[in-house]
Amino acid sequence: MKLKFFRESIVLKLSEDWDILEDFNGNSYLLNLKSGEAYEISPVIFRFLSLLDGKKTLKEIIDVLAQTFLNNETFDKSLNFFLKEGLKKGFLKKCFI
Amino acid sequence: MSDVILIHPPTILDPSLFKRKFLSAPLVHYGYGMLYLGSFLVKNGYKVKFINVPELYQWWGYGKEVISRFTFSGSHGRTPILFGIELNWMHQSLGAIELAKRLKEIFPEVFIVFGGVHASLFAKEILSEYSDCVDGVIRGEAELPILDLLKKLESSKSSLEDVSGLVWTKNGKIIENPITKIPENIDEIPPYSTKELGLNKLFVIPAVNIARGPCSMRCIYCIGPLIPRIFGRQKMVCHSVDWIIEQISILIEEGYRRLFFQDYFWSSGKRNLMEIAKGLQKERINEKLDYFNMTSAPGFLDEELLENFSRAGVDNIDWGVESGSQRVLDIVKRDVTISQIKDSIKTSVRKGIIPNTFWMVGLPGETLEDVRKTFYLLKETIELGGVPRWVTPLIVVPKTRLYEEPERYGIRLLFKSFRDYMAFSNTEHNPNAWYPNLITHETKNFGVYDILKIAFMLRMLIKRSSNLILEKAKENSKIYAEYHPHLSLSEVETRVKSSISVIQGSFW
Repeated sequence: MKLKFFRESIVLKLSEDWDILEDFNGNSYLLNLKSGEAYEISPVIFRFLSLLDGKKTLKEIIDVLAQTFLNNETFDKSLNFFLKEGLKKGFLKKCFI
Repeated sequence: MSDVILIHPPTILDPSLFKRKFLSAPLVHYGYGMLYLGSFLVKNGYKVKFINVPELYQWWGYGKEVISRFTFSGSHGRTPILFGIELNWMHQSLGAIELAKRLKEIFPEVFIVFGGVHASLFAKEILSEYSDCVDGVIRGEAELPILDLLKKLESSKSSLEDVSGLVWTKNGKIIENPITKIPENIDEIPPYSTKELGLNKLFVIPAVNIARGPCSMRCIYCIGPLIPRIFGRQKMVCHSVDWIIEQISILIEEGYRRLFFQDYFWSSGKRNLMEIAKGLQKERINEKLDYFNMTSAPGFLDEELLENFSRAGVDNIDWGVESGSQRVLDIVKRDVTISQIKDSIKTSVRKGIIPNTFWMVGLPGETLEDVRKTFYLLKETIELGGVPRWVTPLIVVPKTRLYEEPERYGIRLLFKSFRDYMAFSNTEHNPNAWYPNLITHETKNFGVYDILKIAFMLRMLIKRSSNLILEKAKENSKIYAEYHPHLSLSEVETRVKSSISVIQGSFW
């Protein structure tokens, strides 16, 4: 996994206004608890978000993900894009430990 | 004779806010109870004027001056003897009270009475909190009580003590008159005519009252079974076929091509239902309509009845599925089985009736496993040709068994009073039907946000299944067209697309 814009030691968490949800068919969503606004997310992003606990570093999470999902360029791009968007749109927050 | 003014209130009186509020748009139509009440008063010689406040806003603009002495006067500018304000739905509570306050300022001498389901349920609370602007609430069927009330108001000396079902105040004390008068022969209540009542057709849903009285089911979240205790009518009675035909003919003559049967008549027994269906067939009602909707609980209409209602013109039916878990259906005492649900959908399709399905979440005792069963039943009904029409969190309706015994059913009520339910009037519209402040309860297993998330999940399943729903409808469209020539492929497609498009915003 190549992180383009982020340090590997960064710690992230999901903002309190957002939650993740997986239906019984394995489709996953990122959901704003204030407005009901929702985005469909891929299984890898869902897994990534479910690992965010405000303690693990990005590197630690990516290592866990790597055990289940293949690392490839598409995956790198998608996660990089998601991290960038997440911080911009506010569903991800940086934690300062 | 004196003038009576019957009013359909807005959800909220402030015209500038009305536009943005929760569910304000669908609530612009008169409830048919008030239309029958108006027809009955006209038959008894009263001059009746109907005012639909949302309609006034639409035509006259959103200005505060709409609620004025000029607008609310009777014929020839006369002061009316009575204002009857409809409070049928909880969404109207705030608007109805604000309207009563405003009218009391302009017409302090005019008696203001509330009627309708929500007003009946909270009659005492309304009088205890708002007796400065509400003079009375009529519980249950209002035709006979309002006639008595008017006679007493006209003679001005009589006491209101024997007006059936009236809740009112005397020397600061709330008096609840017992319900003693209910029309035995409901055919004596005349069918309504929008022309005769001076109504704008756009604000009337062409629905026909078929039956009055309790539903034969026992669902703990519904008012239906409690009608004898709350509204006084002990047994279901139905209008005669001749009366129903007369009502439908009036509507057709007035230009309506759509028709709705939405009361509990489906639980009135096969013989009666068959008589209605055959009567409609005899009159060839089907040839005069483009759309005919009825409602039922699964299992109440067998193959023969569905065949006959389809031949009578019914081209779509609302099936209240509610849950896919038999355990949950049993807890809420909904006497329906999962196999009846599937059979009802399959048979409707076979008999040329588009089966719309309605779903509910946040039911008492519901676990994640039950939600999974509902999720999979929803998928299965889509495969069978079901068209999902509505997904909503359960809203605990006041005075139902669930409301009266929350602990017994393992729920915690978040809404208890008339004021609490006013939140349905002034909550901002949300396109995702995300209304945490309108969830009326929590269950043992699910909190407010869990209930919202489950509803979201079912709505998303429907969204993802859009193509399949459409494909199935197209597959079945030949059968639909055999029974209903107006149900062309494009008409079926349009209807299904329209159903899917409103799902994301469906709530209560």
